[in-house]
Amino acid sequence: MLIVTLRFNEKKNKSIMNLKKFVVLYLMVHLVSAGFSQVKQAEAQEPFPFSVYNLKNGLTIILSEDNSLPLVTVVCAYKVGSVYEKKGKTGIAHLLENLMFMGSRNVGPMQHIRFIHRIGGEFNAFTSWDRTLFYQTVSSNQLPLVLWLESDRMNSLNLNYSNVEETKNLLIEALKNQDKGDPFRESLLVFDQLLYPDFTYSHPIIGSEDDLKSITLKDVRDFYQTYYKPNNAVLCITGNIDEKNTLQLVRKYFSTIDPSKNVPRPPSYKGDFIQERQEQISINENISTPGFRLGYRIGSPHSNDFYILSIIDYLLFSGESSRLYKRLVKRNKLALNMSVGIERRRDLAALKVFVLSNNEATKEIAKKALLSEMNRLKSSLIPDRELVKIKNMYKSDYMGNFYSPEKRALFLTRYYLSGNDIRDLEGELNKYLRVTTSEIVGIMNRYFTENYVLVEIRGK
Amino acid sequence: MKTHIQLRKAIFGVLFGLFILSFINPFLSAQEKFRKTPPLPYPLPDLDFPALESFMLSNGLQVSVVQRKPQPFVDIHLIILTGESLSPDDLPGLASFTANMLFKGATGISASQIEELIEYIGGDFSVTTYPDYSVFSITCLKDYLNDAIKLLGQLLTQADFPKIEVNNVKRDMFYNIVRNTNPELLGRKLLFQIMFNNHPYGKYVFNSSVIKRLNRKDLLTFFDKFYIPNNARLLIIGDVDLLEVTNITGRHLSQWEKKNVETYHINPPASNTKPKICFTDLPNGDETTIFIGYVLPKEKTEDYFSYLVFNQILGGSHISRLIMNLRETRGYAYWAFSEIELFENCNLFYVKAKVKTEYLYPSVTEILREIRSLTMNRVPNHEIEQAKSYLIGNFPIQISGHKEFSLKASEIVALDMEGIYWENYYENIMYVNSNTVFETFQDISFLNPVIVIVGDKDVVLDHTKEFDEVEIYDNEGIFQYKLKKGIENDSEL
Repeated sequence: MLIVTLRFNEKKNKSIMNLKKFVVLYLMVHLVSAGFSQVKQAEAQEPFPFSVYNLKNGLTIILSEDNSLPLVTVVCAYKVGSVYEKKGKTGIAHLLENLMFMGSRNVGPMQHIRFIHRIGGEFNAFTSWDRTLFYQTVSSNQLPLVLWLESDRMNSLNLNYSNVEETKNLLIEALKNQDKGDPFRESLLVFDQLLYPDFTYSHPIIGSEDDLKSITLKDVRDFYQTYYKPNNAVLCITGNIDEKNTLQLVRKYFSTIDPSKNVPRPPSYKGDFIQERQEQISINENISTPGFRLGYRIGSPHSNDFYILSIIDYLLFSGESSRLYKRLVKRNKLALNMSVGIERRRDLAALKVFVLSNNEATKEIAKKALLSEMNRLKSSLIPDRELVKIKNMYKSDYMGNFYSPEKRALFLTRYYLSGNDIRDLEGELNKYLRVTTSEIVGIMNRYFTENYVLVEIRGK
Repeated sequence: MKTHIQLRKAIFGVLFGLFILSFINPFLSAQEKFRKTPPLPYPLPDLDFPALESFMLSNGLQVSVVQRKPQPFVDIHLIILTGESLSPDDLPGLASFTANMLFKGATGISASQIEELIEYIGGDFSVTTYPDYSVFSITCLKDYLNDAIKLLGQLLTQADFPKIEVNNVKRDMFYNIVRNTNPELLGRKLLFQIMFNNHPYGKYVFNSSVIKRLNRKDLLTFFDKFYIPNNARLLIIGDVDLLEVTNITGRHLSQWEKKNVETYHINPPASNTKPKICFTDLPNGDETTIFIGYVLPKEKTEDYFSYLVFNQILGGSHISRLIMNLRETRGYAYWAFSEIELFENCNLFYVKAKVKTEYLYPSVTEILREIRSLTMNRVPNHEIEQAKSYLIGNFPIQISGHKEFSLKASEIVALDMEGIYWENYYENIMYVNSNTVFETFQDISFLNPVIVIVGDKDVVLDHTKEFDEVEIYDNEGIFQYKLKKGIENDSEL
């Protein structure tokens, strides 16, 4: 299957010629290598067609057409998150995410939200370790409005003393409420520090109260000028679009925005891979149900191991018939609550387990049961039918990303920002579906050793 | 001549000043003209729903198919056209109990095998009971449609409701009730109970004491009486065609035995004769949750879109009157919205708000004033147009996921609303104007609301003295006592 994926720099007529040559060359390479059948597959719907472009100022554009409903989703993502923060200034990435709604040269404070609400649209934004995303879904005839709004805040965000201080205070308040309202937050912070022993990767995205207070207007302006630029951003538009017209609109609103002169490379991870088991106890008087957090650092999201690890994650924890849910929650009633998942922090990944039990005794049994289920997978092959079930569940969840404009846009953006070549998306699902039972045994033995991180959670 | 020189100097001064300013603040430099004002939208695109095609099996089961391409999933909804309103008067909850038991085993297949099988076909399932109907939903990979329908056939024709699962389901239902500490769920439940007191819809909410009385024998009677093909509808949505569905359903569901179905007519509930204020204790910081509800008559088709516009203007979104007044202008509330729930014989309209406890009384007063104002005055045209613009933009978003789309479709099929949704949704919204909204609500009384307050007793009751009478209920909806002007009164209800 060919996904029509083009990359080119926008230039004037001359480069359009270059583009044509490139397209011809690109198609020739594919036609030759795939014995012509690729042409037909270019129209295949699996996963779905999309295109990638670059503007001259470095802005990456991903477009994908889906005309089933008159909707369009626009994601504007910046390659910056909490790992880019300096010590003493944690929380600045998340602060800037919030400031992006406080107005720009032609859009008043909070007007972005009002514009979207007025036309029945929906919006959201979030900051993670390595990215900050803004997205909105609107009726497709309102695409120009969204591009106007997004380009205005990329071009000319209003940052002044009063809106920075006001937003800082709101976030400090939210941080205090989080501390008050979530008795398990403290244990999570300890857990992350053990799992990622490098400050850059382990500190919380929301930052600390002291750090937020110390952030100045200049810090925020510098951060914005460095990272919120077209050459550090990707714009993904999906839904009921016409590709040619959409590109023209994007050019109109974004091509004259100046790029950043220097976008620093993301800091590399300086912590050690866990060499031995690490255990700690976290006590909080507001906790009435004891529990534990268990974590394994696993292979890089860019490695082939990651496909197998993802299937193992499903095998153990996904669905009511998964091995651990059945044993800990349904059959033996050892866990009141269990949440599990693989977490990616740029090039790092970890499998994290959080279990809450009725009492200390059931907690201990739950822990042993969990470890024994994991050990069982190190020495015995899983039945074929179970593997088919896991793969069907994985396939179903994976393909669930394709069929709403918002999910598709977020999926494409996430894949692009993960550092993979987006052309590899074509065969990605099959890499999960080709995992074998013996590979599962091998990976279980490689990563799920005795060198895990454990945080016991207790009340007083 | 001198004036001329002065003018030149002045012009030069202004130009020089602008030149310097352009260096001082880059934001003051020239910008492209198109950035100054928001662009106009393109023409409104069409909203085309895929066709809803239906046929009937020989046993009376109506099967509807919506073909959506390309989609690797199928969403299957079995709708039993009997809901909680037909549970026996002394056993409210029996309809929910029966529905919750359907996926818990049949001859030759246990509950855990059913769960495993559904996950094997890349799927999941859910069960929901409403006052008028129950819905059983299965989503799975399209390649396994045959397996899913086969399972459904097995559950319906070979149901055996294992005793051990009867106890498990009863236990889950019990804990769901007694562990409910969500103020919104609790408030909605009490509102429903008070509004539909002595009406079949009132059986939709029930307390934990009922659970003990639910038993397998009553369940079997209810199942035999209502789980019959000529009292059901099947909706299948996905990349499937009518012929394929005809073959599969014929193979696996035609042996589901047709029986006589009794028809029941439920009258709309009587209107409240006086306002009622009810309180239940649930400490939640300094926040108090309010519900204010009214029963609306069953709408005529042409009124349905006026209802939507009315609701949108009052409290349908973040730009509606309630939130602009209570949160943005007065700072009383964290949020305030309104909703209309559709039933077969009437509709429920309510406002829900989370307010700062100290502003409880003024919040209730303001909400009632907003409702009065909206029903007694014609809404300005610009506000009507704004609401219509919101509804037109937002509706496709609500159904943009395949599950959301199919759930909406199942509601449409269950309540016979195909004509309303499947044809000219946008045009019907656009047809609404200030007069149609005003006229729709002229015959409806908004004088006697049911007001439900959920909050921390120790704090809230101090703020209820301005209400003439407040009925106090426990968290399961059992009446405790009355307060008159804040003073306890033991008289019976």
